[in-house]
Amino acid sequence: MIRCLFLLILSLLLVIGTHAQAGLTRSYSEALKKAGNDKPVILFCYGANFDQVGKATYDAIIHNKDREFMRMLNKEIYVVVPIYQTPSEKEQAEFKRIMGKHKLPGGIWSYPCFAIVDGQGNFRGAVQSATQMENPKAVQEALTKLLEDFDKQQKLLTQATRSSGANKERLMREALSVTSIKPPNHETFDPANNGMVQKLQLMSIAEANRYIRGTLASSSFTPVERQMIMAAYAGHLRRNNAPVELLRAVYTEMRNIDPTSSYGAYAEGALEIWVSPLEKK
Amino acid sequence: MTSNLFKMMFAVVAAVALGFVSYPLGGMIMDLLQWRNDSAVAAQRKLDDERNRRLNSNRLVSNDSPSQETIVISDNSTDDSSADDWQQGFDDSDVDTDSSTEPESSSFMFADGDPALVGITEEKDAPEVAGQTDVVPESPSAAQRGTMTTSGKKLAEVLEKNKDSKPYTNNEFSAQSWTSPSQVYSTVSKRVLGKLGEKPSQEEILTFLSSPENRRDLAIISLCRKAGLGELAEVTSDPMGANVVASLASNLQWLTDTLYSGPTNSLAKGLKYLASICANRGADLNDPVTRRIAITTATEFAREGWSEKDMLERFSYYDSSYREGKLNKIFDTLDYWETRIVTGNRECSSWGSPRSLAWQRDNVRLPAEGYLSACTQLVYRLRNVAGDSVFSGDYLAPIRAATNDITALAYREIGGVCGACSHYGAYGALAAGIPAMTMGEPGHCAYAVRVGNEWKMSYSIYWQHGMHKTFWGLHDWEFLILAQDLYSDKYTTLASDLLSDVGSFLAARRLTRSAFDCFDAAVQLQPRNWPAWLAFAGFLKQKAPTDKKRWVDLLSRITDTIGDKYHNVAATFEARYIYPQVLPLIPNLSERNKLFAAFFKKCESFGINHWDIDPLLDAQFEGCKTNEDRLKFMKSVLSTLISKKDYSGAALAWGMKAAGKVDDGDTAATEKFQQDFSKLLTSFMSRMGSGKKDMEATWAGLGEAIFTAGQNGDTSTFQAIGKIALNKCKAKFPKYKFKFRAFPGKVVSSTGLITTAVTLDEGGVKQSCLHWGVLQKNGGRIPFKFEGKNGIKVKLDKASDLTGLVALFECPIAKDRPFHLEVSDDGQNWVDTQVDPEITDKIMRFDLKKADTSGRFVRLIREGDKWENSNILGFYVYGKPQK
Repeated sequence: MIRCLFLLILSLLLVIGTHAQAGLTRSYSEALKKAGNDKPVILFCYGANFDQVGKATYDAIIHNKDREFMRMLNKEIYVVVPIYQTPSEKEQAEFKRIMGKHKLPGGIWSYPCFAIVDGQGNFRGAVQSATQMENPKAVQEALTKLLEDFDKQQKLLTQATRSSGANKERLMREALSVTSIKPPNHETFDPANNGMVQKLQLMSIAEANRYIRGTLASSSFTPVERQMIMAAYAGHLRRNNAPVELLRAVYTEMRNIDPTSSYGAYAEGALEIWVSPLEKK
Repeated sequence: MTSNLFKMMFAVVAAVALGFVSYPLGGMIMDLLQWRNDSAVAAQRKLDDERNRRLNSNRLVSNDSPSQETIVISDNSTDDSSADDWQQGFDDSDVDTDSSTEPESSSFMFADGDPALVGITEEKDAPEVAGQTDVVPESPSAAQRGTMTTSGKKLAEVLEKNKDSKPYTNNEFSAQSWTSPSQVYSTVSKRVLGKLGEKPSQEEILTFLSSPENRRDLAIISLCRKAGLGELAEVTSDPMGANVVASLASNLQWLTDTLYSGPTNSLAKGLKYLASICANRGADLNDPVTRRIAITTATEFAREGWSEKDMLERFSYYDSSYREGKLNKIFDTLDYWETRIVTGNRECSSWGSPRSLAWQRDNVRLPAEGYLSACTQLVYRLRNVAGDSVFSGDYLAPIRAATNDITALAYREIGGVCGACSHYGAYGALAAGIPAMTMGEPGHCAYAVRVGNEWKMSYSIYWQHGMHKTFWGLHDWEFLILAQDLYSDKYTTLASDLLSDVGSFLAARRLTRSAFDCFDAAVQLQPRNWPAWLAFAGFLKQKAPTDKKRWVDLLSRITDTIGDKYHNVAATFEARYIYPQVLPLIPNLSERNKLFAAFFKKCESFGINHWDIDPLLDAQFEGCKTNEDRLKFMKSVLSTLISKKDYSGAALAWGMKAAGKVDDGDTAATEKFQQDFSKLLTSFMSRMGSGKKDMEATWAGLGEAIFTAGQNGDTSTFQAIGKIALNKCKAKFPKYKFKFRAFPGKVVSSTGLITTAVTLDEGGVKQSCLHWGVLQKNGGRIPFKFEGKNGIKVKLDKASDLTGLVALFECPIAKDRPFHLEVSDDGQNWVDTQVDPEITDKIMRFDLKKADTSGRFVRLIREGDKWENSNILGFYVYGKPQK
């Protein structure tokens, strides 16, 4: 009997403990604490007093407790953050109670949205575009994918820190190729603002090729960054009348890194408006 | 064992059940509600369409047989159909057949001066009334004006009380009647004149205006006068146009919203656009929000001269966005004048296109204050990642198709500079229905968003803001604040507008004396009413152009009533509209200087915003015809302003610019003037305080002055101010002890002038004395920017044979782009010295000993362009001045 009671208490603690980790959390600080090193925190931010869309989203998902959605959400650590327009003192106090001393993470462009941060408060991704936020089903799909990607990247990053040499390089590359999630503490490489474009201006086509290939050998770039580097290279080729075959090859390679990204579309556009007309001449 | 197993299972099941109970927000019994009830919206839309169709068909009603008695309002329409209208109801004797000499509407522009100032065309049949015609009365006394203000306020209270009651309606004029606007005008104006009598007093006019029936009559008169009868007849020749005008004219509120929510230029076209919205978009004007969107879109697009197609698209965007609940709640309660700023936003084919607006509406959805930082969603890139300049078509070209030509999206993907960032922020707010606008600053673009009732700037780096959306064609920030304050005081402004409109009507009827009373009362009641001041000045210019007393009175009133708060507004009005009239009437310089000084007595600080005093001082200076007068005037200006910390620097800078422009053709006299002015300037600057209390103001004032000297290329003044600054504000200068290898010869740059390609903000300008320091032994600070041929330039006091250059940077010098040192004899034609610099950490040296280099100008430039944020602390050109 004692053993049975012990087991019952243990099971209770286990279950309660599991749930204490997940579900709605009243404050952001508490959520970050719960998340630790590996778990994501979901911030559901919505316009609480300035538009009907924010309210409709809140009502549909949270207030009316969309069954499937809540099932998914309750497995995660999440915080509901009402965003007020010209907030009253009471509303300011409410926001402060939830966010404490923390600010909302950078990377949120629109409300309502579901933003994902890691336990250190780094912005890692968001479901926020009009298409993603169109209805609960669309949100759920996008958020599920984002959470999976977060887990995937997190695992790869953890493995990478425990590895070395070529294996570490491979794991890092794989982690960074999870395009929907921003790696933690990763400063975006910008060829326009860090001097790469200027450097290329002084190079011959051959020198530029060597320089770009050397740069791309590093594993520290995300696919979009790789595409941006390719864009810098291709721009240099274009302005220096490089052979059209080379131009096509570079833009095609750039596009194929990730055809769905904006720079994938940029490469496709470049092939259409710059390369094809040259080929027809 | 079995029992134990059972117990264990029971324990687990119980725990799981308990867990479910504690499951946060575990209610999962609710069905999924519809996300957005699209079908309901569609049904509502269908219902609206049907209602519109019914309304439109009902609008064609029978003719009311208007009175055949007429009053002539000038018109020169050449259109055949309107010519027929023109003839209807007129006695031959009343009609001036030589219409080609007539102005198009009831106002005309003066041949000289600003087009904003207009005169009033008198109606040809207006009788001469004894004691009225061409008589501008004595200005009312202060007590009379006080009484008038009290009565005017009462009218405003009456108007405010009426806001919640049912709007006054009167279907006296059907659509058919409106096919002949001249007859409507004739009927109504005769009625109004009958009620007002031949010599209405201010009190009688105010009593007249307190009746809604009379206000509706006045509004019809204003509608006809502002649109022009010929143009209005053109609008009403179309059945929908006649319907729309009849609907508007039958409802006092609708008329008021149309006529008194901002400027009414091109009103006839606006009405035509409004008819087009009803015809092509089935807009139901009975719906208050649709009506607000329709009227503001139509009037703004007409006023701005934009196309009908764009206008229709803009209307549809806001109307459908509102119906779908996609706009910020701020839009729901906007007044008409505020809605005009929103629906009348610019850039119809790019940022303001429906697709770009819709994208921002759905993807940049923020609280109003959030738009102030929305500009940061764009990456600042002068060149995109492919190296294409933002000023070339290649910058966005490849992404255009993928972004479906959505301007905002394309820039968010690729980046942009200040223009794109500011447009992104401002149009994000506009897309959500929040008043906002972009604004130009020197070499920069910023924007403003209205949060609550306050306009807030974003991305601004300079004090000069040229607003891109204006009501009166005046772009300064203060005019935006004036408009906000004016229209927020809604009912006083409406009362003032009504008085001004009565004034215009009475002036057209040659009831000059009463018209004067109305104009006077309009500005007395609402001194912020800029259009009323313009109407008053236009009237005076026409009726009393040389009446010194009247003009001096107007000048004093502007100064006294709005000069206190709106310094720039008052200064603009005085410089543009009063000085050209009054200064020729005051030949005595000291009398003029007294008037001028009275203005600045009202200005202790810049007030609402730092403003440009140059146009005001230029207008005052223009009256000085001899060098002696000019010096006296400058002395007077500097005496008044040198002690005002906000104005001292601006006054010194203005003096230098104005003195530089003086050239009577007599070289010796001009040189003498320049020398005398220089002495005057030095003496005033020497008087500036150097104690702890005054140092900041002195430093800022001298900074502004030395900055202007730099821009003017005036080396001697640059040097003089630099030395005074060192004397007065020694603590502001650094005391670097640089260590570097010098070159043979003198530091020939220490007596020169240095300039940078950086556009300085207000704070930067105040620090400009440090630029002079950069040329001196202990150093200073000058920000640099290297873009193409723009870099750091030094003008030497004399052409010199150069031996070398040492430039000391604040931060380690990046070697990613090559530097070039160029020299020139004239500052126009440059020669590259072909010498490579020796760069060690923060020190750059150009050894010119073997280069055989000479010149008066030296500039340091760099290949390519890149945003760099750093300073040069010392810049020393070595050599030997040529004889």
